Amino acid sequence: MKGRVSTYTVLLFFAFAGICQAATWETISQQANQLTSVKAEFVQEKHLKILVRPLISKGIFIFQSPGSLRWEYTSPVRSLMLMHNGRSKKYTQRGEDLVEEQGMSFESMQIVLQEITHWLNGRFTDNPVFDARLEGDRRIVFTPKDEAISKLINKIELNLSDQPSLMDSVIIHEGPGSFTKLTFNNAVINQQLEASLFTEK
Amino acid sequence: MTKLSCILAGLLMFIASCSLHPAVTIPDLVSTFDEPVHCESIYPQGKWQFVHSLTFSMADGKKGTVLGVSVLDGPIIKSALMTVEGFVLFEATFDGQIEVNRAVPPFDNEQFARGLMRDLQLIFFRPQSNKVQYGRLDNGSSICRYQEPSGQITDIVLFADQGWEINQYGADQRRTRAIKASPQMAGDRSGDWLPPRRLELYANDTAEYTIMMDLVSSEKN
Repeated sequence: MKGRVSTYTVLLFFAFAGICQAATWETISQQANQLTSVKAEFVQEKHLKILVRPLISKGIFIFQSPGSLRWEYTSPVRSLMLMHNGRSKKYTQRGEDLVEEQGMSFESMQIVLQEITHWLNGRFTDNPVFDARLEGDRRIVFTPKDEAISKLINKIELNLSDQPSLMDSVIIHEGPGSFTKLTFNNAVINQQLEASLFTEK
Repeated sequence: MTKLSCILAGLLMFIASCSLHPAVTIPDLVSTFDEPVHCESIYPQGKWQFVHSLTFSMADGKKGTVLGVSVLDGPIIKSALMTVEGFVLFEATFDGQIEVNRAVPPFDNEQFARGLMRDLQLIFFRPQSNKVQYGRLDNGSSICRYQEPSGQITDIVLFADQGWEINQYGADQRRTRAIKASPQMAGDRSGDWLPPRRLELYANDTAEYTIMMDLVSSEKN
């Protein structure tokens, strides 16, 4: 299970790399280089065939160049992933406490998170996992190269914001009737952020 | 031979010490009634959707947290397990038989699906047996005892504070499943059924584990 969970984490982070995307591929690196930090709230809708109504989660996503990340779910169950100076941690709520996750899956996540920071810094061309294509002005669609991954994730859609370097939403399609939509709002870019945001729960 | 016996005895003591809970056997009823105890009051009626935060602990010390979705529609149970981030690990429909729609390793085995169905049925559905005994335990709690032809026994114990327990025993009278419900949400005087804020499931037969189920949301449809 943990290996697969990490894979999903990886895929989501690849999706977040789209923050730096723009309407044409040519401007990607240029805009990414201008982005020093992003802080945004997100609302996640989980749609499943069996759900009468989608399951709503909320959280905060923070990135600071060159390689600091904080991805935090605040409700309904807390979960926190941190990355700073090449070191990563993951915490999950158990009872009233946030408990640090350990184990091999997390080690594999650390490796991938390192790679994702390359994306967030504008290095998009070396993607071993997905083929990317631009649809219209503001949509990027990632499809898995690997058949094994395509059984878990059909495709990822990134819907770009009209504000350069930002995106409005990510939709992760897992299978028929099952998808996850993350909508970002209240985004603030290029602010100086405290390092403790990326190291402390 | 003596040395081997000592090693086996030590091994058994070690295994026993690894157990999450001590072995429990079926309690005696201090009194019995002809008048039924309304144990069915613990079960939801109609169509419901529950979301729980599930924190599981295995006997080997492994722990984890996932989200569990349970949708009840008459005799049909639909269930999904997903990570806190929303990745679906397991999704199935139980309608007399199990139809697995999605299962990622290590949930892609029949034993897991059967065990999950058994747990969900025990939590949400009244035992099928018509052989029922009503009575009281020595702590004063009311009890309904359902006996299956196989020798399996399911006790539903109602506490004065609105909490309840379901205990299931094998033919050898050792407890194999226990579900403990916290009292229902305070402040509701409507008389409508409300789900417990927390369920604690303990299993000890083919595998030993504990699952704390904290209610995230519930909707009657």
